[in-house]
Amino acid sequence: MDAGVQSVLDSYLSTLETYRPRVEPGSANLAHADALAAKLKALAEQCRDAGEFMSRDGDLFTQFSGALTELAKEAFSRPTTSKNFRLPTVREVAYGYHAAYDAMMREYPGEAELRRELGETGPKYPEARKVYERVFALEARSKNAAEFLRDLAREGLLLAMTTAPLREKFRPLVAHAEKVSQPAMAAHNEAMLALLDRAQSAIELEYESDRLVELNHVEKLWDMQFVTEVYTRVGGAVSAFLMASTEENRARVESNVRYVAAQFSLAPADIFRVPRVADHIQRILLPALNGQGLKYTYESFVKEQLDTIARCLAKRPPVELAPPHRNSVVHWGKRLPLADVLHTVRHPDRPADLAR
Amino acid sequence: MEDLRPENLAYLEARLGECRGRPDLHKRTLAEYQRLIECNRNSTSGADYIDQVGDMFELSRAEQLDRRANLGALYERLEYPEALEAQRERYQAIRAAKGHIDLHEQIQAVNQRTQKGAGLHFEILNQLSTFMAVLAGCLAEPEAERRGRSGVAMEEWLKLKQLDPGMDWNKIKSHRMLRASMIWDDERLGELERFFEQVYREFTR
Repeated sequence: MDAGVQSVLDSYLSTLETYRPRVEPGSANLAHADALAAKLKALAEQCRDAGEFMSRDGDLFTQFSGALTELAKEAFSRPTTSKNFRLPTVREVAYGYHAAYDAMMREYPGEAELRRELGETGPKYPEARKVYERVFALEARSKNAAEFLRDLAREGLLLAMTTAPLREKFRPLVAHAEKVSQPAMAAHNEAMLALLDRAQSAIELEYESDRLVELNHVEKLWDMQFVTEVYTRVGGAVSAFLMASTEENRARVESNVRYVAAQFSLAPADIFRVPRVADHIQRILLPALNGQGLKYTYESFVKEQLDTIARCLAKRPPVELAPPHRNSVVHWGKRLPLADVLHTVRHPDRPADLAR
Repeated sequence: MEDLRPENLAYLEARLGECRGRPDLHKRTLAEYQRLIECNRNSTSGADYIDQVGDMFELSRAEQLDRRANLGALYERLEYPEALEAQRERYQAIRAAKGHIDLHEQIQAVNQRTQKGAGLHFEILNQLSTFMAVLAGCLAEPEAERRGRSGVAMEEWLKLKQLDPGMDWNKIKSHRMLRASMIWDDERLGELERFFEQVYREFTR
């Protein structure tokens, strides 16, 4: 029989064997599962590879899985005692790890392009590969499942099988988030990397990931609101005026500029000196515009924006700035000068009681 | 029956060690590992040990209960009552589970039942963000366009109220996570509130 077919067949049959000692010998569920197992074995003999085996009679696999579920329910409805206990084999314990490894190492459509975009070269998941190779080496040398599990736990491999591939996934995402002007995401990805190094249990990892996602969610909304309020509306109005120099569009530029001056005590030229705004323009707007064949530098872009604003405000009353205390916003309850926003979003100063 | 208690004891001690870094997150799991270690040490044979600990269902349940309790405590601090309630419901369902299969089925059923509440705060935060953007946008645009934009602000407010019937400006100003999602200080948030009062009056006259 083909080795792949044998492996799939064994994994199904060994599950059946796990339950056998735990139900009555005359169990109807067991008889049903045995009958289906015989059909599976017969089918396996006729198939050339695992793909054919699993696809030729999908209904049989569905029926067998259903029979195993019923058998499991019956098995677990009776207390486990030394009489019906059966220690799983090493192979049974390791089956899930092999399945996870195979799924992780498979090349998915579009994955190679994405990895290239993130600057990833070389083989996929080198660190996770080492972790799994160690798991499989322990599998090969273990005499029984208890020994195998003992060594997996002692060497911290049960958690490492999760953290190693995640670490490799998150690592390039810090720089990528910075590249696309998402400082809150960059901060989150960095915090996740630190967590993956720090976490000692699956429970800790899951809880801390959820906590970080919750905090990051509000920080992303905060950052988006900041960019919208300080720059995006003004920028949108200027673009509209550049496309169609109507009185309506001029009035929109004027109104938005006055709004930013009143809210944040920012004169037009000062808007472009706010580091968070400059980062957004340099990393999001300019690549998009220059991707359409334009040749903006940051300086030429800002000059065009300021010249347009000046045109729109010509012969209009001067823009009134709000008092200087408005040159600030509030981040996690603390007042923050606009100039510090980029740094703070990238390195958030969160309340102490939410730090764990 | 082969006596594998020494291997199992080493396994349990290693797992116990994993929980010790954050005992606050593993209260029930730690206690369960300690109980299993006691059983292992005090048992007279491999068979006696199995007869005492069975299929270790209590350990699986303890891990699941810790997960729900941890998130419940987090949502309480974050002031998300619906998410807290979802975790409480999940905790109760897990506590009532009778065995491994039942635990698995209960978790699936209760997760589905409580899915909406568990993630409602994300929807509320996102909708608040949309509402505030439109509302502030009304003030940024020329007077002539304000009426039309105010209508949109009112629509976004109603969507927010639909998600959270208890939403009002007191909540916007005092809820720690809603505030954390916004850049405004009290002065500017107060101005937006007063502007919205005008909008609201205009549309409910």
